[in-house]
Amino acid sequence: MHDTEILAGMTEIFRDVLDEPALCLAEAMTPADIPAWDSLRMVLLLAALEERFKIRFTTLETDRIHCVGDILEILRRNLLADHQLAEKTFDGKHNVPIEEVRVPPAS
Amino acid sequence: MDLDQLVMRFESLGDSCEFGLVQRQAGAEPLGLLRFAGFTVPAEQRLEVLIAALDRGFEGLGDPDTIEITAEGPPDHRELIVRERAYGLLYHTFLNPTDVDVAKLRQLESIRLRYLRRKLLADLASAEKIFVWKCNADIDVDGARRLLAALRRHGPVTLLWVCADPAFGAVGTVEHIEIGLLRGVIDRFAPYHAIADINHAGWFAVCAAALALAGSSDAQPAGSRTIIVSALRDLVRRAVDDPSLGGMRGVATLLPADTYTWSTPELRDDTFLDPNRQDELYAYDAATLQAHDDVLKVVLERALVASQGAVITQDGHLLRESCWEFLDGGLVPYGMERGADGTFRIVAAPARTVPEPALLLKRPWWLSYRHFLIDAASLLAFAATRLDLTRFRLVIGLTHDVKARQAILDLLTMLAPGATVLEQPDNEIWRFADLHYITPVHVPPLCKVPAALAALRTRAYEAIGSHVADPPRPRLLMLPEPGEQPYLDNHAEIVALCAEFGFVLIAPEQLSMADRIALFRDANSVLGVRSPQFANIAFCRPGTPVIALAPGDWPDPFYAELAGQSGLSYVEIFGPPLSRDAGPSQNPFRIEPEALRRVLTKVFASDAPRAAPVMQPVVSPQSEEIIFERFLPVVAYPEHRGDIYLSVLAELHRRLRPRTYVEIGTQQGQALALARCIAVAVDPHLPLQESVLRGKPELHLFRMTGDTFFSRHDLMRTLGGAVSLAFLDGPMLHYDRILRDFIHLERCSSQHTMVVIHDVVPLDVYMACRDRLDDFRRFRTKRLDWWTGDVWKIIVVLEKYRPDLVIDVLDAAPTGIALVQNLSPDSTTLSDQFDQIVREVAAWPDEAAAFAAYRAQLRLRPTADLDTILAERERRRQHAP
Repeated sequence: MHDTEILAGMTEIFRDVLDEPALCLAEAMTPADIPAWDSLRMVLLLAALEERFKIRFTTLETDRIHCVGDILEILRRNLLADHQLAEKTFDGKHNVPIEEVRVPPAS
Repeated sequence: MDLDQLVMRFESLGDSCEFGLVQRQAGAEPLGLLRFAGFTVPAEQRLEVLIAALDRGFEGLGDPDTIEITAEGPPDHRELIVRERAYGLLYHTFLNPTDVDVAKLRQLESIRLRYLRRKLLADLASAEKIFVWKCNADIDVDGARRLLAALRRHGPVTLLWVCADPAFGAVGTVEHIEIGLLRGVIDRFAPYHAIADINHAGWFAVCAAALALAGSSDAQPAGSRTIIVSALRDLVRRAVDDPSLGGMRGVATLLPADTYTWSTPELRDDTFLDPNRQDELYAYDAATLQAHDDVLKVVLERALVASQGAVITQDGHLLRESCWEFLDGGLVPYGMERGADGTFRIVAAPARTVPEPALLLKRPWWLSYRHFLIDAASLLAFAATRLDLTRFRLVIGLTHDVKARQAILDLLTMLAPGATVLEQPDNEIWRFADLHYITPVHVPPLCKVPAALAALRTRAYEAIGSHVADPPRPRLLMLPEPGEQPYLDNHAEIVALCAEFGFVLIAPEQLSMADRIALFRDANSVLGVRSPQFANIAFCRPGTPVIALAPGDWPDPFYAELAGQSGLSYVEIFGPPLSRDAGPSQNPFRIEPEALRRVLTKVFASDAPRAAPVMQPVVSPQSEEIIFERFLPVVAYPEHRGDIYLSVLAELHRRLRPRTYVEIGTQQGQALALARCIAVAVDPHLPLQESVLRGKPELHLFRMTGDTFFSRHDLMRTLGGAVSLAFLDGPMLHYDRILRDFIHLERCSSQHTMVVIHDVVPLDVYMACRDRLDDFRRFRTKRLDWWTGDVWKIIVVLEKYRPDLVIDVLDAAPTGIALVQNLSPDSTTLSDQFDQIVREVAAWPDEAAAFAAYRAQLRLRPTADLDTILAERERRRQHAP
């Protein structure tokens, strides 16, 4: 997924959660630029982003969010990692998650 | 560290918004459920409400039915307030009622609360933040401990308990109370009615000191922390005095230290063995009696794992056991730098945190099949006899070699079915919230732990069952392919020669693990170059002839010992290396065909195949993790300052002048020697050393337990009346045994009987460990030579079930005594409810908490109070009907 696609998805969510239908996101924007983006709404934004992009933010990641670009970077990294996981399988079927392998139970 | 980064390392547990505002003042806005939400109950009750909520994991938080939103405040400044009913939380929305649809807001608050609950639980599990608790109402250390226990049910959390009490030190002082618990000092809290009136500087000082004290390896930027190499066993020993050392939460011995013997090769052709290294090899041969250390399992909180299994504790100890092969070879684990002074620094940031309990299988050189098999697989097989492996994430290395990875996963499937595996790249550092580390079962070049190898064989055989390799090969020949090391230069010549003796060339690495194991299990004999795959001889049955070919510059005894302690019939032939360009084990070599023929002729002098004896499993499976105990919070109480218990007993004899005396648990007889009356002593051992007869008109000795004595003998008949004074002192220091003795004694008592119970006030919960042989809990006590068993529980039981008894607990050295009076020979309360009592005590959820509560509630009287106690006794006596 390209940055433009990610940013477009983020914009939709920001508009919806912050109730700012005309909002256009830029990477440098901070909560100071978007008055509705307070700590209460931040949680709603994260929840919506997680659902939209099928990821989970870690505390380490959320603690480092200061601007739109920070969120974009996290999403980019997570989505890229997902892509790489699919690539780095060993049986060629792209269905074995490399990160966590479930050993079959005893037959 | 900048202030905003500093305060971001902490997470508020509520009470008020004070710490949340401190974070805001520093420029940090972390998300947290309790940062700006508080419990509505009075301040004195908030701790209990928080503990209860943590115990429930805030389950159900965010249910829309529990969210009530009301407009509050003066008419000109109305604001929507959220009241959460399931846990009694309240917080501001800063929204005007006219600006928002309340129904929609309730929906959004539901999402918010659910998200923050999930985040809180994740933060507790990963334990990366320090959790902060303050309360304007007084909270004592027991309250803080109970909160810590509630937090630690979710993860290895550190709690910073902040007190506004100058008695604990100057503002900014932070003290380490026990593992996971810090106490910080501030001069004052913001009043609840003026929450912005905060001593920010004081809070910042507390945070800085707490972060430094918490010893988190990630508390400082990469590169700034000094890592020192430490032996784990040394840390375990030192942890007795400093429980925070290493961030060790638990230590268990999975296998005691032991000795074993290995048989040296039956035959060795050393014609081409490097003369300069012959002494080295034969020195190993001379050491057929070997000893291995005990196999320890430790639980490390927030440890890092770098490179090929190098473990770094949260306080900066690089465990030597985990990487000594690297260190001795002058290598530096990935992500670290070695300083001139021999210390290390971490220069790479952890790539990820694993919040789940994880068992480390990664060892140096794990990519070599022989090392994985002998170091990791045998450790795992052995661990499976002790632990439920499905509880852990099994941590192995990540390899892109498809066949190697498949073999590893096949082995894990056999040894730990149902487990979950994490593959850590060697070029990443990972942090583990809860790392279970087992000391190596192979310490090269010798000292493979026989029990681990036996476990590997046993479990591998069980896993493949009656599977037979296709096709079966009775005589296995393994020679490296060109490009593999050490390469046998006259490969074809040796294959042809071996074929004359019925050997068939195999390539184990091409086979499934099941075929590999079956081939070696069923092999009549094995011949091959000492390549990594040669380690498959670990699957051979005892008695199988094994012939190893090796270059003369590589006298490594690894395979000889593997075969020698597995009962294999091992023969070794060294051939001349064809170059010295590479290191030992890597140079091509040849084997003189005639030398090999001579050996084969000798080994196979008879055409009859050797019968392979049936292997007996050496390791019998044990129940799940029977040894491991979580470290209980270390709370050591001061040593008792009262008179020694024998002096108190002597005084009781002198003052009470008892007509009869009964003692259960006599041991050497020091206490019995004090009696000057008719006496009965019961002890299954009776190793008397004192002049116990002195001053006694009658002395009845019974070498049996209390239970046996009371089932066979009529105590009152023996004594000729009721018991005047009794002393209960074991010998089994189990409260239920002592309680039974007490029940029997009470039936033989009068209203004037006094029963003295020893060992009721241990100094810490480890001293009170029920199992005397449980060294790995007991060693945590301050006084290793003192053991009280769990006798203290009898006081809890008697106070609950027999409030009519008069119990005085004295600070008699060394471990306290209780004087129990006002006995009722007709009472059946204890005997009727004995089973219920035992069940109830067994169901105590947290022994450490129960012990702490006992010590907190205990009214410990000085032995100097004995006069008063006896005067009170006399008054009761005078007022008795």
